[in-house]
Amino acid sequence: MSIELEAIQPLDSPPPYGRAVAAPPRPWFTRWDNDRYTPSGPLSVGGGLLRAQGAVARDLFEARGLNTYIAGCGLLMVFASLLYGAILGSVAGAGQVVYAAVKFPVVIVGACAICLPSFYVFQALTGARLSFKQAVAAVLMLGAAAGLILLGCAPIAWFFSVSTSEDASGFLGLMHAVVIALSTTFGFHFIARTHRYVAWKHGERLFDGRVLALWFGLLVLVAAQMASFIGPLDPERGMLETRRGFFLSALLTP
Amino acid sequence: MAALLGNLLHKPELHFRLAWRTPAVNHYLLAAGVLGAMAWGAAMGSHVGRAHLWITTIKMPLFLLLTLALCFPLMHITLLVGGVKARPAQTLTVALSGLSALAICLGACAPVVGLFCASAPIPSMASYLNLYVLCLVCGVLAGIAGLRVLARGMRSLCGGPVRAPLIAWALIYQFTGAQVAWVLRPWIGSSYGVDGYSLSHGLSGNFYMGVWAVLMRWLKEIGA
Repeated sequence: MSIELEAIQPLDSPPPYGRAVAAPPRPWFTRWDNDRYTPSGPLSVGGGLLRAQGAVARDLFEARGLNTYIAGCGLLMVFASLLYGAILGSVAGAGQVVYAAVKFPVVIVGACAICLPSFYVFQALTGARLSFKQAVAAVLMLGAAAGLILLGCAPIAWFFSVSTSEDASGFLGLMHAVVIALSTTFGFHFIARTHRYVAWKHGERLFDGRVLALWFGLLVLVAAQMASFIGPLDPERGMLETRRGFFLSALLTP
Repeated sequence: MAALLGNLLHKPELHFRLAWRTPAVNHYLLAAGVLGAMAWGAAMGSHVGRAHLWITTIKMPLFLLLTLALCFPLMHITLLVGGVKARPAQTLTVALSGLSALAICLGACAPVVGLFCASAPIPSMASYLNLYVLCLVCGVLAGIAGLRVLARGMRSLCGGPVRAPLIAWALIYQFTGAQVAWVLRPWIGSSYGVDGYSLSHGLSGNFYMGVWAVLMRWLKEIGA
């Protein structure tokens, strides 16, 4: 007795062995893909970073208009850190406002400049397809994206600074630390998404993801050490006075 | 104005569809919000009465608008980062709509609160605490109404899910609003005869440090 078996075809046939299943695009991929933006000048770059992140990521990948992005992101980063530095300084009194407004951008720009060579070299070593100009633009975009969040938080931070009595410096310190951490995380988030978007759209790596994460940790450490060395919030230090020491010991010493 | 308020409360979707076509709607929303907040302020101020009545009537709209002014840049950035492509004027319309709905709800509760405030014994800590709870309940209800309008406004801008920016807006406004309210205190008025408003009193301390100190004292008393 023979039984004829009907050939059953699976509805969704699995991919051949060894081939990865293509993941459906995430909603933000399609959103970024629809973003349209042409930088009209350095001052318009902030709008692009907020409204059309996908277009900015494509420009970075295709090295389009990089001079404009470098100028715009640099200006935005310096302006945001200058303004937020002034607010940070206002906690320690009016005299500290100017010092902090000058020193805080030095900390931010200095940390980015110090970490830029390591970013480019290690990305290149791990096979990322990135020119030095793209590396400069990427680092400045991280700083500018963080600066935008700092600018957004500036009115709230200023209000808390002026409306809080001096014995609540612990609260203010914590609040500023949270704001700076949030803004830096947003900057990193933007660059990490740029990496994932480019990988999805072009099938190529603009950055190496693991190197990017490690490098971001290095950037945070360098910024903390710069802050400890230059001391934008130390009212006892002069404009050009620096102090040696590891930032962790400065944090742990009461 | 009446039609606008009707749409805002009954049919927020229609309100926002009309608002995108009529930029002048922000003025009406502002006026409605200020009136509602003034009514609520007057109700709270009626507990102590005298100068405190009109001071609180002015302080309440000032509180809502000052908080909005401080939070607006971050709220707009949050909206853009959350994928809602809005112009600043549109963000302002959404924020003012939510704020107006909140203030109108508070204004609607004002007669009831005003009655209790005016008739509660003074000075009395018990009556102060009862009024505090009453105002808190009204505030929570009005806050929910405001959030509902905000959610509809954001959805009419982007058409997709808006949970993340909505939560962010609520947290930003709440975090800043608590400190603004602290600076502009007293609201109901002291049961111990403090009258009027003093900026130096307002600028002393900090809301969150104050809450922390109360919590610590409470924990110490429980432990003792």
